[in-house]
Amino acid sequence: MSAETSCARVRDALLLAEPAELRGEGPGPVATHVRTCAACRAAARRILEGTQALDEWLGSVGAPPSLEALSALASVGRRPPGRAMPRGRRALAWIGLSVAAAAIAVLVLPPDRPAPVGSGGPTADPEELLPLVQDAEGRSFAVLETDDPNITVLWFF
Amino acid sequence: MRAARSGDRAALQELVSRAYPMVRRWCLVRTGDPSDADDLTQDVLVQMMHRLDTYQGGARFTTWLYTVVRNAAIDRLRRDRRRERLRTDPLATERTAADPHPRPDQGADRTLLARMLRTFFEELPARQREVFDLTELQGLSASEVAEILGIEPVSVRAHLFKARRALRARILECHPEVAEEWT
Repeated sequence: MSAETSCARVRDALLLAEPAELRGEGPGPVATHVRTCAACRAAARRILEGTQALDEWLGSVGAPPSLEALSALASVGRRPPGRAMPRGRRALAWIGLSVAAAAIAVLVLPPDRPAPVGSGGPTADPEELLPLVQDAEGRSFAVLETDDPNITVLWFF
Repeated sequence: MRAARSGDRAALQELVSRAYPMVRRWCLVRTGDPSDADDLTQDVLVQMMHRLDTYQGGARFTTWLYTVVRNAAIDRLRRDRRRERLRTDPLATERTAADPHPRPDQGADRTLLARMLRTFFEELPARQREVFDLTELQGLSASEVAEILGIEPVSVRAHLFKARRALRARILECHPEVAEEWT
């Protein structure tokens, strides 16, 4: 591979060549060409320099933190990431809480009182049975009106 | 390792000291920003201390540790996005206004070149950055990198070639004199 005829091909090959080939090491065509062609050798050198500069930047570190510093960091309200409850378990927890809230509501609410005269059963208008569902910050809750105007049930889910 | 897992503080400090350069580097590769990398490194080291008993010894420690890094990075990204929704970053516009691809004059100093390289590196997809660092810069084999990242060796090579091509092309763009010599 002569310097005159193959610079264009080597130019592309330089972008994928192994670092050793860029240094002109080995018998391969790229390495051989780099050893003999000044322009391609300069390009290969630039690539190596740039890669080395990147390596130095990534590898520059200070002193490691002490155990005391890490322990303090873990204890000052910064919950270690990754320890949050998984999404599935969070959903189960919400369902459990909702069921518990409903059970408490059943226990706390006074027993059925006779329906007001003329009310005609639970509610005459079926639309009044539909709960008002609202969303707040990623959490939904339903507002359930009861017959007693003083009692409203909030159902979080 | 056994002593560290049993709570020996000296052994734990030794483990932290040994893991720190590697973890900091991985975190910098993941984040592309030294300050973010420092925060993430602390997260990872804290998690490493807390989760040491989950390391079974079957896989290499570096493989296990890299998983901790990735999970911590994902957690942090998620938290940052949540915070980002709550407030606007006053520096964001400043960063956007700055030229993301500064071109040095011929003979530019090494510092400027290094800064531009970081910009180019950050532009690569995260997976390419990881593969390029582990393979090209740290000299690990494709099979070792595949084990650490949990991907196939053939994917490692594919990511490496893409990263090499992109990064080297940008490096050469920084040196117009090289192109002039070629023409």
